[in-house]
Amino acid sequence: MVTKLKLSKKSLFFLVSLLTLSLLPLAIGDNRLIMHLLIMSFIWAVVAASWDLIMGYARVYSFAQMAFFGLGGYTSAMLTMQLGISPWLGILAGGGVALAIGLLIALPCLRLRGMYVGMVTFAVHLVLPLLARAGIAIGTGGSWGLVNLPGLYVGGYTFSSLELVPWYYVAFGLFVLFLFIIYKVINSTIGLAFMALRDSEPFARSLGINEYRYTLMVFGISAFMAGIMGAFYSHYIGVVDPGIFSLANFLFGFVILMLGGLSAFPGAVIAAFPLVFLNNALFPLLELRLVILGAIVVGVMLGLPRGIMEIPEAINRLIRQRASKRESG
Amino acid sequence: MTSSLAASLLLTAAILGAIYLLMALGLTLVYGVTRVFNFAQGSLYLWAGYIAFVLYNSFQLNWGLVVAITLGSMFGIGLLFERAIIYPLRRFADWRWSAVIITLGAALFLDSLALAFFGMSPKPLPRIIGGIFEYGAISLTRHDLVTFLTTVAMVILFNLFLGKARTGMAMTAVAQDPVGANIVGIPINRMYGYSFGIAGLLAGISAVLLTPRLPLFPPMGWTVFVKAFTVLMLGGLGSIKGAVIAAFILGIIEAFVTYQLGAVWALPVCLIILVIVLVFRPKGLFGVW
Repeated sequence: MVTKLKLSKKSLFFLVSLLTLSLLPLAIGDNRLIMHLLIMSFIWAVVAASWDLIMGYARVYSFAQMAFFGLGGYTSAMLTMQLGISPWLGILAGGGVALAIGLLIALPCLRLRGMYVGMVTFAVHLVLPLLARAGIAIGTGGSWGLVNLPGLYVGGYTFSSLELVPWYYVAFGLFVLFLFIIYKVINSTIGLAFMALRDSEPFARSLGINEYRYTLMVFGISAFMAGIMGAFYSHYIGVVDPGIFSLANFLFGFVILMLGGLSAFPGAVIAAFPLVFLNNALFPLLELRLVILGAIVVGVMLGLPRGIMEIPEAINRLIRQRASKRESG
Repeated sequence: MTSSLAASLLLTAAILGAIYLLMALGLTLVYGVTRVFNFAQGSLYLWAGYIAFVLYNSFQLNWGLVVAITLGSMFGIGLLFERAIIYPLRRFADWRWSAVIITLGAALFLDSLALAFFGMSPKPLPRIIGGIFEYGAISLTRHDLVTFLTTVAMVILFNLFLGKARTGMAMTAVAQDPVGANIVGIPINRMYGYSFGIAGLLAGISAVLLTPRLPLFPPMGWTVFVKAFTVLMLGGLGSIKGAVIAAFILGIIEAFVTYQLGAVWALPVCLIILVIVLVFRPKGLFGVW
């Protein structure tokens, strides 16, 4: 018996990047900008990867991912500020509410076909900021939102915006945990079922694969993850307002998903980091930032419709084309 | 509620519904012919409004010329839009899905560009004609009357165009069966372009009619888009009859909800009704596709 010790190139790459990310604060822990951008990258990476789970793997055109993100944020903010519960419980509740609402949306949605799912989930996304603005009576804080959300705490230590390293490790923990779950889902019976359904739906059905049940499960999982990340994000920045549902936010998540490529895990995760840094670098350009993000979506769709994971393949293709041209010419 | 108040609410409903209907027709035509849901329809509306504004304010043209140039250039922009971002996508296998995303990206691009150029301050356009129209207990601005009549005329024209005109029939054929249409020699690429061109034109008409009533600033494109989209979904994709009925149902709901609960609740109530209807009728009220 020989134990397989040799690691593939891919898993080596992941081990090294995880190790680097976990040790990074030791080196640059006092550079608050970079720490902040890495925390944001973790958050966006999970949002985009869980979005990919439902949109890429399950092929449900759900535009409600950022709605779940915002729902998580609002739930946790309202619970911690009104009932004074611990922010940890608040974050969990944020995920729970996103999960519940997600299933509530999915139940009717999964009976719809193709574009209608996109439309209904988009309608859900559009209606939430309006409800958040109008719902002062239930404590959403109206247009101004809720400020001064309590920070997380461990024992007697409360996280503050002055010291980002603890935040970093919580974000990193969530990042690793959720990516591991997503990886497991993709490589489980569920992932296999979706692959079968995609390749040959009638055959998959004849084998007794219940599409509805699996889709519902994946919808719930991805809503839950977005909710948790949204709640964590709100406590991290200390504010939640209707802007969390803004189109700019929606499209930023979308840009990450598209650049990463659909059903190309971990494409979206890898794409999140450069895009968060780029987004930050573009802030001084004000309105032009969104012009550029829009142009990126258009450019990526035209040039790399399957995202960055396709780059090596695209380069190979280009080289082969050159070579064959030289031979024939 | 007095009867005259109810009457004026119904009138407002009919007029607003009429304009959203024009936008919805643009969406449904593009979806029918190309099966692409165009998220940038609201941005086309926005840019049509700004083109008219610039022509009127900076070039000081008279209204007739402003409207004519705006509509002409919107048709051109629609064609260009299709040629620049939809046409090159079509060489990919999964292009319809990519196309939806690219229109979202283009919407973001166009809206932010408008924001960078014109800022957030609302831009006005004058009414097409001034004055009040009165008939018995009914009184409304002449502009609203023109709006309503134009919309009715456009819906009739649109129906005639799709049913009787050669190009319109060709577009209907592509909508029903693209492969068959290709076999009998209908130039599909051109029909794709025309559908976007006409959608641009309809956005232009909506912008010229609606801007005198509602201020023109970047979020406006989405506000109008969402209304049109709700009309379309409620009526069902591909059904003009459905869109007409849905436009007036939503117009009435909007007018009465605004009156009873305030303007903030109008859209949430409409969207919730839409979701409930879709649960029971997954293709909308009269949907074909």
